[in-house]
Amino acid sequence: MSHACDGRDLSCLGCAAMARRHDTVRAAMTVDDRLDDIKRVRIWSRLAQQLDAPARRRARWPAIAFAVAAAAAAATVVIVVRTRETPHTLTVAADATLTSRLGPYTRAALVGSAELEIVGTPGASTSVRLRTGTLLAAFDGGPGRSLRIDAPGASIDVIGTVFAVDVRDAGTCVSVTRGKVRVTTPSDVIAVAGGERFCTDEGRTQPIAPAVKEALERHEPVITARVEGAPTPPKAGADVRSVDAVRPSDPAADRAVSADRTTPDLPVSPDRTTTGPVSATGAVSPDRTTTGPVSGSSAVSPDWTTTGPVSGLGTTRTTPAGRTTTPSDPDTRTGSSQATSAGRTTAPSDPDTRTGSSQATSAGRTTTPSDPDSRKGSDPRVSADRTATRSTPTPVPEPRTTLPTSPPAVASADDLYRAAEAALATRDHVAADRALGRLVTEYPSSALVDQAHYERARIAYHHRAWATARRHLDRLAAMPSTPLAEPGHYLACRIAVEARDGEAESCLVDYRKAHPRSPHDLDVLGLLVRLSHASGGCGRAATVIDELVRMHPRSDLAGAWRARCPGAR
Amino acid sequence: MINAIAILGALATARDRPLADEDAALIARHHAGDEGAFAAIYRAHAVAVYRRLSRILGPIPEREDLTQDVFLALHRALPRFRGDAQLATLIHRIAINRAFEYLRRQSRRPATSVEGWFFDELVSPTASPEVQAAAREDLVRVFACLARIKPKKRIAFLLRVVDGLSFEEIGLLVEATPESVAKRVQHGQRELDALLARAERSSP
Repeated sequence: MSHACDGRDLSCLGCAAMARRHDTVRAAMTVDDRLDDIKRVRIWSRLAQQLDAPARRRARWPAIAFAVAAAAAAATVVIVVRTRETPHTLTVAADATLTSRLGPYTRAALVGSAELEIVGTPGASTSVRLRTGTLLAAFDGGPGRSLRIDAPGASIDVIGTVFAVDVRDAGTCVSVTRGKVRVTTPSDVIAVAGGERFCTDEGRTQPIAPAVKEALERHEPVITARVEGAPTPPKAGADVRSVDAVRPSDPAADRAVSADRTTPDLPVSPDRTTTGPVSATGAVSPDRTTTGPVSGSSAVSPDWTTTGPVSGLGTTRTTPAGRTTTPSDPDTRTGSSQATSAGRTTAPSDPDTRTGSSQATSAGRTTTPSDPDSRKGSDPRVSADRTATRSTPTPVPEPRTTLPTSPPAVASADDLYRAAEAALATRDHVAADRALGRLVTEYPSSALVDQAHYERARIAYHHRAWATARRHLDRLAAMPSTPLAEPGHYLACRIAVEARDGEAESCLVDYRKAHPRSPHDLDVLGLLVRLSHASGGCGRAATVIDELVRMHPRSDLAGAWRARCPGAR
Repeated sequence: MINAIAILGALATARDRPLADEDAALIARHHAGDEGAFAAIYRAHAVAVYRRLSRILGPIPEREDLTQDVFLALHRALPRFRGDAQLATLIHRIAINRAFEYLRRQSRRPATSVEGWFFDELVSPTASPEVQAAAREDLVRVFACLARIKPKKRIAFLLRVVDGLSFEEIGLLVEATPESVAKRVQHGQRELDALLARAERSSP
């Protein structure tokens, strides 16, 4: 091929082959480039949270800096992590605070003394059991995600919030600063909203206790720091360190591996608002930032952020994503080499503990520049594999792989939504509609209800069941301040057009008035032009064509209508 | 930089002015403290940003996070934005920067093949199993080959081939001269062609 192919000279075999390859590239890169309404709203919800967060963080920075300095000045803060009945129980000593991920979407601080048990493998759906103590947490809710905390006398389903659970002798208290949680007691189901608390011994919601509110506010920058956009790796400059682990069957399980670690941005302070044991279970995820001696047993996963010594036993349930300290990765590089060595330091008090555990750790946690697992977010399945072998190079997008095909008989709102998503992915609209219907019926106050109404309307629209679709959209429209109001309005207009409803045109005009810069504007104008043209030809459509050309001058649609009705501008 | 922005402003075509005017009004509202203005900016540009990222990075699951990052960066940049360039240009520059950073991070990690199941949802479910398998293979092959091209070349090449932008337009987005862009496109094209041809030959 001695000439430059311009993509049009298909008489040249080389150029024709190149054009075919470019077609393949074009098809591959455009096959899924449309942002649907649900995704758009989901991104905005997370973005809006983040836009609020920086101001709060800046405002509290001096206090945080002071707390960190105090933490550094404190002689020793001890956190003991060890296995009890299962390798997934964490015990935090008094006067210690441990910050960690519980699965990919939850960041939590355990205020010692405390005991927490992780139920199953943490992931998009995470379940923990708080036996004693205080758990402060931020959960980044969304479709397919759930967090359940079982505590004495109450089960707490978290929708997406910053909250605290405090287990005391008298009962369990749930306090919420932002968002909403659902508390199920043996006799009742209570929705606890921001600024409220519910204690099992009080039996009704009350304003949040000032002390708990203050504790949550103090920890919020820490526990929300990495939940937002959860699977992203730590920021540059963060001191991310690997953690050693001991296999659960290791006879040295009760002994600890410890290491001296110092983390400049340590978010944990030694002062505590609540006292009492805290036990945390759960999916510990891959990043772990620590200060002070750490001895690990059991389900210590790499994402614990601790001050003071930690002791633990068992298997590291490391999730791979973005947490391994890859020397070549600028996001995780700072301090990584020291971290790795620190993470393998044998506790001076018990050198034997290292036997066996260090191999397990290095197998699961070795930080190499070629670690393929560091590409993705935490995924329990991959992490489990990693404990045995490191040959799992394929990134695994968690939501795609963890969706159940049908909801369990007793399912949370998140379970039901996740099941609906899975059914939609396989185009099983009947199952999806059934799951969403259950969600709406069983959890009328869930934050997912508006999405359920909208998805049900879309399913009905897909099957051209106009009346059903409108019924769902009416319910959606009745919900105050839902971000799905705009997509719902648009879908209602589409239905009016498809159903040849006489109100279609006015619906579209109203839509444009209500949502002047909507992403559907081009489609709406296209529909308006089509309707106007159908009823009165180019003369009647001229005004709308002008508007179409003015608003979307480069669109194919504008060009086509200009050509068809040259009288318009 | 200032010159580039001035050039961008001068290059705004008359056809884009209505939207640019609306953007300017939204920015003014945002500067005045109207909390709804940024939401309106997001509504107006989110689809285009997501599409831009998709067409550079492919159907990867991180697109939502990156879209979010783009608007977060935009929110931080807006106080310094004086309207010298079009808002859309600024947004797309940020998007391309984010895509570039993402690709650079990925390129420092070992190349991993993308499994076919990753594309299951993208392949027409009504096609025959053979056609589905072939379509999946095509997608896997394209992404595997694209992953081996340097980010700058890849971005320039895809902006040219997929979006059909001119060298000048690409240059304004990636802050490079048209000549430099042309070279990147040419090199990217050559490399991809060679990689695809090799992959096609080696496939059964």
